[in-house]
Amino acid sequence: MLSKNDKKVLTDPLISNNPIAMQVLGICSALAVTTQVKPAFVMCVSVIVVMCVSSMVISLLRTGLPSRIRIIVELCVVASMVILVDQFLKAFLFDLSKQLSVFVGLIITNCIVMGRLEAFALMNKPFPSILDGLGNGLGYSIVLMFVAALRELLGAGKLAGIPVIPQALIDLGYVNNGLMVLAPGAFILLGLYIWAQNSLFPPKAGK
Amino acid sequence: MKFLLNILEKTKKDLFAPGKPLEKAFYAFDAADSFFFSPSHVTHGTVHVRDSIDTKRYMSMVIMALLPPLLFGIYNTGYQAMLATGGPADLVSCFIEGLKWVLPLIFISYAVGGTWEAIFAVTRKHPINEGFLVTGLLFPLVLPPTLPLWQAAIGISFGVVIAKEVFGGTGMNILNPALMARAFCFFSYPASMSGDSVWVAITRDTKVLDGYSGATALGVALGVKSGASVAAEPVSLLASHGFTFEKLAMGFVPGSIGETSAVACFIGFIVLLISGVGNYRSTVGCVVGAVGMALVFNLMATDSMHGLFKMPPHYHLVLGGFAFGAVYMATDPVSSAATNLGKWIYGILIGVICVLIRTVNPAYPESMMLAILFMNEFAPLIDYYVVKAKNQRRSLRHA
Amino acid sequence: MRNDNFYIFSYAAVVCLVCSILLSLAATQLQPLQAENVKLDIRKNIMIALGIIKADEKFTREELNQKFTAVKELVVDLEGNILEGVKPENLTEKDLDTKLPIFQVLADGTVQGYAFPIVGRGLWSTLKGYLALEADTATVKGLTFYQHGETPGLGAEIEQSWFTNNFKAKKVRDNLGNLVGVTVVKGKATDSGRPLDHVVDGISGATITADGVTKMFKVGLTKYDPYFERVRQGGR
Repeated sequence: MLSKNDKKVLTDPLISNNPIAMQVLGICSALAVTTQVKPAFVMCVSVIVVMCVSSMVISLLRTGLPSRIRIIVELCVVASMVILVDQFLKAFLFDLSKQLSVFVGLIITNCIVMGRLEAFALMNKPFPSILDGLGNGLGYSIVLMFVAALRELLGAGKLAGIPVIPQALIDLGYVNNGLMVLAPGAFILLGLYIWAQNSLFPPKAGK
Repeated sequence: MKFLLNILEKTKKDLFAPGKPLEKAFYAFDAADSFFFSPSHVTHGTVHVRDSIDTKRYMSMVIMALLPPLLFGIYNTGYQAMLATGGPADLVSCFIEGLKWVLPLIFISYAVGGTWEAIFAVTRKHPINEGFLVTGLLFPLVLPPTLPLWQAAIGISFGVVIAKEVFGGTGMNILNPALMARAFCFFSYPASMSGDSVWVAITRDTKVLDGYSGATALGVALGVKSGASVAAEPVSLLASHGFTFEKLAMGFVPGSIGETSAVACFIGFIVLLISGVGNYRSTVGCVVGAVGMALVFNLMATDSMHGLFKMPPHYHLVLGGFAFGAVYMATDPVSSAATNLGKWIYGILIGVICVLIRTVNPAYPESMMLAILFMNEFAPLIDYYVVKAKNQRRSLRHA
Repeated sequence: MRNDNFYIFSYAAVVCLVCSILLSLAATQLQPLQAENVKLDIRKNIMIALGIIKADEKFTREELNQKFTAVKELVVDLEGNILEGVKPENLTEKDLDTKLPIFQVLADGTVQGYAFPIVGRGLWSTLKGYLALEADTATVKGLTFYQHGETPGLGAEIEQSWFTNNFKAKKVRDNLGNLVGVTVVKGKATDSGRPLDHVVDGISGATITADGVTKMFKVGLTKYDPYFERVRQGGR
């Protein structure tokens, strides 16, 4: 269904060119919304939606887009998308949007979004651009979900809100790790993730 | 003895040398070997980024210097427990009771931390470094005696792996691994690391908050609120809780195992100086900074401020982890500043920040740890400017 | 591609126009739903404080609104006079200095309890919650915190039920009728040597947050005292 090139566009950002792990972009939200799996998941979906739609729009506009106001138009499109997503969350997923608070709005400042528009959507047809947005959004999500799952598990003893630590262990004196709930916990996990990825899939030298 | 040594040397040649069947495990064997005997080859080259002193000799001297607070800590842990439970408070039974609490922590620290060291040494193919002998002993000494052992195990794992090995191993670390391990425990398991009930060794179960509450002197001093009917003077308030200056300096008070006695730390400081491995500049700098900052707070203090603002400077030196940190942690050659002037700046700022955090943010009474870690990060910057200034002066002179 | 000023300006204008139309459309369409959500969230917290629902129970919109019919909303001024025709949801942040919302829970026409918002400072953050009193205006009916940023595992324990439940049935007035509030002590309430009616267990390692809670009780109760004074004298 997908051409070889399309497949590469979609799968490259998952691991080998992951926007967070390899390019270290979008760290801010990776730290802020990952204390629990649920809000992190909603954040991931929001970012994917914003990235796909704005990539498509910019790609459609690319032939007529005056280069002098290129960045402003990109910002305008991304900002509109983000506000739309935020409005929808407030209307339909109120509790989660309360937990995500300002961070949905801050997708605007997420370097991954603007970076992909500049680097890819401006020069490619709409369909590959959507795939690129989807791929990078998924790559972002993989890392976010990894960090969120570990933070919720170690920091609160839950996964997606369901307690998973057996009572027997708690009776033995197990307590949750408070550091994981704080922002440094996310930093450390993120560092470990990057370490693990670099050891398992060493980046090609000279690139 | 000679006989055993010969066997070890022979096995090493036959089994572990390059090309022999157990080649991969050479460094694991080497570590075990050099643990029993002085190694046939001492570490050479720069294991420390900036210090070419033989690591083994250096670390042995630090261990020697750690003995006074260690021995006193063991005794005091037992003594405090006996006070609380009403057991026999003679020297021997206190010491035995203390050993029951302190030995498991030291054992866990060495066993778990040592395992990590070995894993990294084997995978990275370098000899196991003696530096861990010190880290593994420093860590238990800055813990409350009641810390659950599994938390200590996770703490030292963090200290060794994240604070040291990630940066490239001994000598490459920016932060002090033992303090990082403590900081990890402090933020991860606050209930086991702070509050009034963890300092006296009665039970490791943190859920049991009833019973004897061993308020720390810092907590008591903080409790001086304006308008309270109790004396507004921190000194008399401390004394009314049994914390006289002599007692605090000697260390017969609840607290982290090795940190309570400023006198024991001072003896250790002398040992470090005489043996030549220690450097007085950081430590004296800490004292100067702390006294200076405390005096500033004394001048600022008004009635509406809590007791720590009004506490005389010499009390700051004997409270909490200050003395231990100034003698053993601030002098760590790897994570402190390397230049002589840099050591002064580094030490003074640690003292200032320690008293600053302690006084202004009472949520973190154990401020020495935070102050040292904070300055660890600035040590390279301080050195950079000290060296730069020196070079500038020199070039001016020759211009 | 054209790059003259006229083209650029008209291009920008069109993009802006499209975006703004899209956004205003979404905003106006979703506004009622969002306002409803905010209102429901407040109602939920009030009902948790009043003990009508439990914090971990899930309810649909309709059920929550249904249950809230038992609650009567009032606004009083600083002297305790009821301001007719003013609804709590219409109060702005600034109004709250002089106009105080009160929520009465009614059963068979008699008042079973009062809930009102309390605000205070913890160690790091502003603590916001609702405090509910029984009909005698002296006994705590319930307490809930819905916003804070305290240290997880220490100060953040204030929102846990083990902590808030301790407040239930405590007295905010002593036998002489003086307002004393409820004090969060250091350590166990039983060890504090104070009348158990007015103290609750502290949180180990979270003295500053606990002091904040003690203070916000006192401040909130003092603010609402003129109104409760009238209630006690029979005229509400």
